[in-house]
Amino acid sequence: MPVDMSQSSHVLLEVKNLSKSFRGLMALQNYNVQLTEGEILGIIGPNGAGKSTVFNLLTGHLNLTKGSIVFRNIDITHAAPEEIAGLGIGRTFQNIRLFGSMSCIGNVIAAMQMKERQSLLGAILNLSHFREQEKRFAMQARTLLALFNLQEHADSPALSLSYGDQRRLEIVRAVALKPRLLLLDEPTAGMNPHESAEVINLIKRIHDEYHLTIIIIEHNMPLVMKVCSRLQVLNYGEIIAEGKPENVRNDPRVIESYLGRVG
Amino acid sequence: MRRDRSTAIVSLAAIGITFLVLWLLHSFGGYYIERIVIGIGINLILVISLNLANGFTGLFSLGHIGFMAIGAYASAILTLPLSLKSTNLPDLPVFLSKIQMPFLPAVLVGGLIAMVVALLIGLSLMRLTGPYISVATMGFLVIVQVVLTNWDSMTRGARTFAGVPEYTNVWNVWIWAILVLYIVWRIKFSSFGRKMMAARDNEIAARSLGINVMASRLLAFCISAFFTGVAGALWAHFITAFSPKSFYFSQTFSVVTMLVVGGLGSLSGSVVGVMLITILSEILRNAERGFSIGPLVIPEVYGASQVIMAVLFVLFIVFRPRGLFGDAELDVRRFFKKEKEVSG
Amino acid sequence: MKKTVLFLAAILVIFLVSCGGSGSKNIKLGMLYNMTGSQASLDGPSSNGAKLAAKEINAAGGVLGKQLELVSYDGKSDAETIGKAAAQLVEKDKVVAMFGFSDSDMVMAAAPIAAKAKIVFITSGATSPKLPSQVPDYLFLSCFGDNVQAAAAAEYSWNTLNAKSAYLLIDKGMEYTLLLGKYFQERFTELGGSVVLEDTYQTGDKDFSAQITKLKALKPAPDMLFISSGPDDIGTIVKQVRDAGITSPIFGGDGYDTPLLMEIAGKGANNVYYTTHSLMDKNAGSPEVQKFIAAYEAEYNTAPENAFAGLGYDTVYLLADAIKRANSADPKKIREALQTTKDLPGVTGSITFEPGSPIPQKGVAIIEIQDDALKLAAEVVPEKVPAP
Repeated sequence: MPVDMSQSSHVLLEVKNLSKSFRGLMALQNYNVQLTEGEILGIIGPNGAGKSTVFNLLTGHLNLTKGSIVFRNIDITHAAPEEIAGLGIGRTFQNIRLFGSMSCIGNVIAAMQMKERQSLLGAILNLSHFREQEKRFAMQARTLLALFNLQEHADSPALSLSYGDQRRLEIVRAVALKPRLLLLDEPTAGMNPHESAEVINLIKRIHDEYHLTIIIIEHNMPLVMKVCSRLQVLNYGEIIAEGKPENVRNDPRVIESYLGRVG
Repeated sequence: MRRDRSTAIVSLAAIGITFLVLWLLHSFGGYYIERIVIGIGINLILVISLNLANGFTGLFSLGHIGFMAIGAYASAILTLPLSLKSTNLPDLPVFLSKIQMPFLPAVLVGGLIAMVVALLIGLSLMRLTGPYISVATMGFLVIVQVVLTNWDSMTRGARTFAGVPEYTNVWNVWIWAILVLYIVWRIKFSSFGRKMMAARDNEIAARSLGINVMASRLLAFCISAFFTGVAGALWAHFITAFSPKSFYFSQTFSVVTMLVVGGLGSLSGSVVGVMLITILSEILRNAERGFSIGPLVIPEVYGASQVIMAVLFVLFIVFRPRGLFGDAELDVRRFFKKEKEVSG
Repeated sequence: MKKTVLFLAAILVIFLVSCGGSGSKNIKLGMLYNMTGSQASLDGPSSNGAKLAAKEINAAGGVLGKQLELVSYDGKSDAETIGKAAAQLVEKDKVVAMFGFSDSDMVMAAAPIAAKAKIVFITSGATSPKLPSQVPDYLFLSCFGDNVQAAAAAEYSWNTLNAKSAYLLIDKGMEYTLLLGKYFQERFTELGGSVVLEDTYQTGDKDFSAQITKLKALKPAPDMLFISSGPDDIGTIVKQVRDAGITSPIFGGDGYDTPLLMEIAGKGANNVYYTTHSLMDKNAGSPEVQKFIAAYEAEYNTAPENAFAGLGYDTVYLLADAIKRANSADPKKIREALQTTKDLPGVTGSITFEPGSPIPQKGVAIIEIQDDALKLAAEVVPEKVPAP
């Protein structure tokens, strides 16, 4: 664990004592994490362990019960999802959430326009500035789609894609937001080993090319071992182990509660 | 670049053809045809602006006819000749009883008032979703109805508001209709439209991409209310005599039918939906008076046109719930291309 | 996509073909009634009455040696549709006069279009005396105005019922009820009576307990209740008032002229009075009415549903008379002849137009409900009528 790198300027995310209860039932309890820029953190754990709850709390989709979240030295504990997205946290969802009636490229552009506002008048009058902006959006979106081998589907409706392609499109869309921190919720769920391997490589690639910090929730152990520099294991809403992948793998509590069952 | 230019050429050609057809109908069609053409123009504005609110954002408003009523009454009060004001509206506030506005500013004021009202109610309504927003907006319609019937000094209450100058004609209606179509089209294919549709398709994902769902819905609702108010004003100066009950459920139903038949979210659909339903119901209305084909004599059956339209609508909803166009747009170039492939 | 476009084109062709006009040598009268929608219960009988009149006139040799042809469209209780139908009557059917409708909104959607073509429009059932001034020279009433029936009601209450004080309940949702109540109050107070409480409700209200509580609190109780209501609500109101133990006479206008009143209020309808165009009763009605009822029953297998049937019937006779006296089917001459109509007998009373007035001088029938039956209490020509 790169404790020595925890200088404040490098710390991207600092979460302290994050807790969430649903009608008295603790879904997450005293969750802590400190993320330095460029890290890839994996969160693993059995179903219902509170993994997705962490994401929903970080992005403001759920209100927390207790704790604090500081991102880029800004307190976002009580910020709304759209503000948090504006600060640079992008995410995907466990159950895919695409804009179904829009084309693939439309999905991607919808994320891009976050950073560049348009004026209503410019859009209505179809001014040259507006036209150039739209052209640039389209070009950048196609480039991104090509990175994930989705370029030939650019103009098809998002819901016409295969399940694996939809997952990849959701990642493209999150990347198009140009986030500093990317949260991927089970990016290889429902994919065959070949597709999964491809996605792993892509995640590594965008991590390098876009200088991203990433948190991945995953069930796929080989993937987690391969890309993550650090792992957290959740069970019943609590961190039961944390550290380098190879250490975590050999932790007896982890084997008992989670890996044991899988293996 | 070439795509841009060809789009512009096709659009200009379409506008040119539209006005040529309008001119022909105006010159040779007579007064009856002219009334149909004006009716279509006003319904186009109503349906397209309803599409902006309901189709793009997915919040199905059933209260838009309330905005139409606001636009109609506002413009009617502002343009009523002073001599009629003193007899028909003796209790009007002084600042209103002394003015008689020209047509265009009155229409714009009508639209603006509708928009301000939309902003005020939208701030709370836009938080609702699904059936709740439909019920709440219908509540708004009922409130408008009650206010209009009770605000005697401004609206004459339930009594007929007559004497509104007949300013509306084919030209001003269709210039407005094409303007509204163009503006809403531009909104659809800009970041504003994408935000609205993204929030409609998946609100949670939209927020995770930094889209202020509330703001984009409010924008759609307000612009839509403005144009609906404009349509109401044009309608007021077309029909020239009306009362609050002119703006109620039957008018709501008629506009919603046209929208749904065309397809929620599709502007091409709205245009086709308005034309199709207007012309079809006109044919049926004339046919229900009875006609004869050779020896076969069909007697008059009043009400048959409404029944047939209603049955068609139900069948349509069952077999084509997303309307004629879904939310796709008609692409003229693709249409011609396909035809070439077929013939060649 | 292509199919859709072809489909639309086909429809357009059928439409344009169906718009073709037709010529004939008959005298054409445009008839506009709402056969469907909210107005159908009044306009349906009117239309039947009008058709019956035309049939009788044609059987007797027509007018000026020609047959009367009623060209009709369904207004569908919708202003836009009515506008289109009126345009068709003017343009395609080339009618020489128009008549119809029992509601101000509907009349105002059609009459200006007739006036633009310099054709008269006669409303058979819209009783607002304010209407003709909106369409000067071309809009006539063949029924009495609300000021006339309200004045008749006030005079009858004062003179015959000896009522000195009245309670007034008005439906705020209709022009008709608002004006009727206002005219009654004006004439009644002019006679020396007093309105002790004025209350309102909204068309379609189902619960009148709030109004009734206030009414019962009045000490002393008013001599009569004038309830200005439309046909849909009056039954419910009368029932609730009677159930609350109030037995005073209830008075109203021709909105009461509906079977619903006795159906809903039952025994409570006794001691209710109303003004209307005529008593449509086989036994108690006037000889003209009895003859009309017999003819109507023979034609439609049902008694006239209400007085509006008689109004439609009289309107066609009114136009036929004007054409006969004008000795021409020219719209301008018809209008001039119409204005000089004098003592034309009719089912709903004889019609005379004073010079310059488009509202006829007509007697008002006062109907009284006693022992679960309608009775013609009086025919009143009011001494003084409030200004429109």
